[in-house]
Amino acid sequence: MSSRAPRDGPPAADHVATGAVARDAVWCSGLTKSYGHRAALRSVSLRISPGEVVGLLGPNGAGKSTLVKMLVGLVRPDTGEGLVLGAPLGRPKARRHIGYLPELFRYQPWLSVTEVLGFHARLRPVPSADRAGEVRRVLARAGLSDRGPDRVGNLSKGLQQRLGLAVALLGRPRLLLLDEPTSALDPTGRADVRSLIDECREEGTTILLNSHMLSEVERSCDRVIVLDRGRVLADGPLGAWLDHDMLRVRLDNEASPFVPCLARFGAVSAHARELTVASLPMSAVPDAVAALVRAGARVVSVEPGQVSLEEKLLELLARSNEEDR
Amino acid sequence: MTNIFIFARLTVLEAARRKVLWALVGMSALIIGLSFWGFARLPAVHAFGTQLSAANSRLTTAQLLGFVLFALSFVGALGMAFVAAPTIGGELESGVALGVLARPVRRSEVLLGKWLGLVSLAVVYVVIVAGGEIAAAETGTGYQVPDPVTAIVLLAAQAVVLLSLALLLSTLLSPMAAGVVAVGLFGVAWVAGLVGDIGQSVHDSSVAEVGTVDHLLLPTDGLWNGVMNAIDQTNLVSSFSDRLLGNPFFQPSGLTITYLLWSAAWLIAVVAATHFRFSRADL
Repeated sequence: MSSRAPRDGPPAADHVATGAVARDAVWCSGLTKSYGHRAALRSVSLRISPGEVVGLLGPNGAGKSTLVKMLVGLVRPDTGEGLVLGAPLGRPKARRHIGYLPELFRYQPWLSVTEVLGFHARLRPVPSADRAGEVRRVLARAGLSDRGPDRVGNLSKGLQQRLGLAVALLGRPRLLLLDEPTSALDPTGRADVRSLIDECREEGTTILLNSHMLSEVERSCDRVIVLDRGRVLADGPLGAWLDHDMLRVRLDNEASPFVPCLARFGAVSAHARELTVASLPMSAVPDAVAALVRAGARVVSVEPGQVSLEEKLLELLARSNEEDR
Repeated sequence: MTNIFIFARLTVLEAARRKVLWALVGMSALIIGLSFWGFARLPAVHAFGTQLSAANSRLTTAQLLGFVLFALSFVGALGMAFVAAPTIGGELESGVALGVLARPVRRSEVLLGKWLGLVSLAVVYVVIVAGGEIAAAETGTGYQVPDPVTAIVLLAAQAVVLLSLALLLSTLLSPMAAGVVAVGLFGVAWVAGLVGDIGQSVHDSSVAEVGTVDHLLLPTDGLWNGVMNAIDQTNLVSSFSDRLLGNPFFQPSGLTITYLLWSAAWLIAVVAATHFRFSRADL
């Protein structure tokens, strides 16, 4: 897994002039969008380099889908600007090399699977000589090879999502925007999507993955961007998020009285009979346990580990809520 | 340009797959068949024990043809409004538009393609149905419509006006509401036109103005008057014009070039307004 340095916000205007941002797969600066009085995006700025696989995280209503739709020209920003594959947001040219799987995946129910793909291949546009072969390729890649003649309206929700993936993969896009790509899939389907993302990464495709399935993001992404209430809360390499060792200790008695005796090892939190020490290296675990025993704690289990993406995300969102209060 | 034809073809295919096309063809075939039978029996009809005179027979045929064409135009208007209304609004509502508009296509291409597909359906429907009815009248009674081409063109124009209105409404309202409002406005325009005709027949200028305003706001009834004028024989008009004033299936005068230009401008303005709404819609 490759990781990149955290980005420090939008590039300066002179970068635009020199064309530095034009080489980014995605560059946007100060994007805002409001629906009535509700702000969906508040001055969002970000850059995604070619070949990066970026996870877009955040709670419901954070503005993730709005941002993805903006990149693909379905939503117009109130203010701000952006380039997608070097073309201004909203222009048809910007969509030429984008594959997009919407969160709400719906295709003409009265067409067959092959007809839907043929229709999108024409719009893509895939040259007519290559069209049939390309449709067969994406059908196979999405696991729909035997479903070509089926009417879309007769497909299950999971198979329709696979069709959405096939549509997104048509014409080997340079940028893949996947909005909740596994929401309707069974475990096999989710595994298929993970391997599909791996294959696309190997081909050099830039991927923006909007998903609540944090295990997918943890496994597939180089970098994560966290949105909350329309703002970018965090943007950095995934490795930097997950490198924190931690210790979880379960006791036979109430945990909170033992917080002070572990304070010198790191940030300690207590919940019922459980203590968690953040940023604790493995080498310090025996000393921490010894300190607890000396203080009279009855230790039931000790679980050294790493902070999961979910824990990190929840911590970040909780901190953001506290700061706003 | 290619994209416009892709969407036009898709619209026609949708109408066929959803059996709208076949329902219209089936109903039209039934109505034309019954009309053939009815018109063929007309010369043998006796009124008060005596056979209809040639003039009365022609008048009855002209009025009956007008009535049948109106019924068919109403069926067509109903069909077109309910096919056109979900074409844009339905895809926005269901989410089908998300995948389509994420492609390198302009929204104007999507709109014009769908409009062109709907116009093709309307024109084919009107040509078959109106042409069939006119042929039925001539075969059954010998009544020759003076200007069948104008009648068919104006009837098709009326359908195009209504489907364009339904498309515009579908960018403002839900698809179902757009269909209902479009058909409702078609009915209101017809009634207002009739009120205007009555105003003219009794020489009440303020009542007659209702018809003028109606024809400017929504040209369906104005175009319908042109259809009626095109199917009435000139000699009938001169023989019965006093008694037929205010009759919705009789029009003594044809449409002016100014009115036709106004109707064309109205159509362009409605399509432009639809594009304005559609191109600014956030999905």
